[in-house]
Amino acid sequence: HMAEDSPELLQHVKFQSSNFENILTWDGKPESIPGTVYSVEYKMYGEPEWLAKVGCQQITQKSCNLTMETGNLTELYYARVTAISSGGWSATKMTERFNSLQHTTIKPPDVTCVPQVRSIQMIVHPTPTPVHTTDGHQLTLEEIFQDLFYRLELHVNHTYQMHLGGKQREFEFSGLTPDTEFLGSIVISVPTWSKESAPYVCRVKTLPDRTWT
Amino acid sequence: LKILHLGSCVIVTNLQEIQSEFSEIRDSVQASDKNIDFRILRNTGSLQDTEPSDRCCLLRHLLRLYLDRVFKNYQTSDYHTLRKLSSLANSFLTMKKDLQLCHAYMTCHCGEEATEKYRQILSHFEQLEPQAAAVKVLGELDILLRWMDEAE
Amino acid sequence: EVAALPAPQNLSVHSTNMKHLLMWSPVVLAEETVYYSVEYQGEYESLYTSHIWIPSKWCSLTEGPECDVSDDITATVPYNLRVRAILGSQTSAWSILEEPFNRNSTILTLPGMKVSKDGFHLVIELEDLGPQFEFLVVYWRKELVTKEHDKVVRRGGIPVPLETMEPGAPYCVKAQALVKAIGRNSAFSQEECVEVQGEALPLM
Repeated sequence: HMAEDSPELLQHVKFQSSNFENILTWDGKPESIPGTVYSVEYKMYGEPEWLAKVGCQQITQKSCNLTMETGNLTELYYARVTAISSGGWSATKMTERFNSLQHTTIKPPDVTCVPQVRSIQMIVHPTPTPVHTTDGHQLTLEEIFQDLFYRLELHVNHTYQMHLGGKQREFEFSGLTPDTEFLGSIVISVPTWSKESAPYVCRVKTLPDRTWT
Repeated sequence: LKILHLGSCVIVTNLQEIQSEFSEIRDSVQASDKNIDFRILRNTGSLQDTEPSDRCCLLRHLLRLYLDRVFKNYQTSDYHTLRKLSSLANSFLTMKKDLQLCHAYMTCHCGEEATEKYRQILSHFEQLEPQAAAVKVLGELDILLRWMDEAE
Repeated sequence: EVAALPAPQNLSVHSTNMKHLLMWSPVVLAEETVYYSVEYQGEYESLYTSHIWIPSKWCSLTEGPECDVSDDITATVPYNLRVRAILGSQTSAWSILEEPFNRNSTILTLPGMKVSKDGFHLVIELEDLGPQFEFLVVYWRKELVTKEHDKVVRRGGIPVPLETMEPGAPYCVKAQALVKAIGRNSAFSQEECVEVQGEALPLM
């Protein structure tokens, strides 16, 4: 019994990439027909063969981690999913051309906010990614994106914020009022790729000034 | 703005703006390229792996390819795509004029490497029918932009 | 025989701070509403595909005798612009802008700025002129005119702290607008000075 094409079995086959973690996701027909299984293949743009993704053959869940298979930043990839229902119907759908440099989104940075009496320090920690160089060195976002920088805002009151920015990892907002609460917000920005992370937010209070007590 | 160091030829270009314009039509252009088993701009011919002294010449050839045989052969009735293509083409024309200045000042030398790499790219291009080749190479514009971005 | 619809006349472009306005004399017909259609071609089109004209993003059918072509002019090359009148099914001949327009001829005005103090902080807020604009801000303590500081502010419309001020000493600020896309900048604005009340510390 030849499986016939049944496109509604399979929808929205696409990569969801965040900090270079590349997950292939799709939607199946509404759950009314259980027992549909999915098989994933991938390939490099420009290559003739499709390669089966080990671990994502005849699976029932609707996602597959292709981070390792699509990890070369200079390459472009396609992935496709074949769905086969218990009644023998099938559908195959392909992603758009994917390149993790272009498509990955950036997660908020990991930051430590340290209050002092009249200042607040903000220390941004490097962000590791699953991308490795040929000699096995694990790359951080900062190493991948040459023009990556951090943008920091300190909300002093409802009308006025202080701004700092740069590539360094340590920042200090100074000239603040002791024993006062501030809201800090730090984003990662990558201008060349027009990428910007959601903010890391820290609420922090400057220390009381005990010099005259 | 991005400063492109191409050997002793240095030009300034708004790569981010070009990238942003192309990203608005990339998916639709790439979707119209049905032949995904074949690639014209291959890593073997990349700008950043070319001798710095030959990069200006290779880029000049590539820009001319886009201006002469890609932008004008890509057919679309969609005005949004047409506007983006016009924006890309005129930005490419600006870059080509800057490279022409380098050529005039003898800082855009065509060595063997650039000539051979461009010959290969052209042979890939000419294996396809003109319209299909234009669609494919336009879809590969992000590859060229990354080459330029990495050609530091 | 229906009289031919006259073509719009006196085309000109008024460009200030990278906002480009194509204007023309309206076609006036008693008790009729005349519409207009605007098209453009960049230098690429005029050199490589001269038959191609592209409908303006905002004015493929517009009523007023002007059109904001800022979103059409996206490269620093000469652009041809043309307009025609439309009345029902009738269209006039095209009128073409006499001289091609290049955005590098835009007029750059002095940037509006508001200098203030917040506690001991010297704060500036610059006019928001759009994403193509950055600003060079120069500030100094009045008695130390030789010791100027400068800072590039990436965008207008938000208050930016420049320095922590000493009480009792006036601080002055001036700014100019920078447009990298055309490699030009405005003149410097007038300087504005503010001071935090209190005893001025002796200068070291």
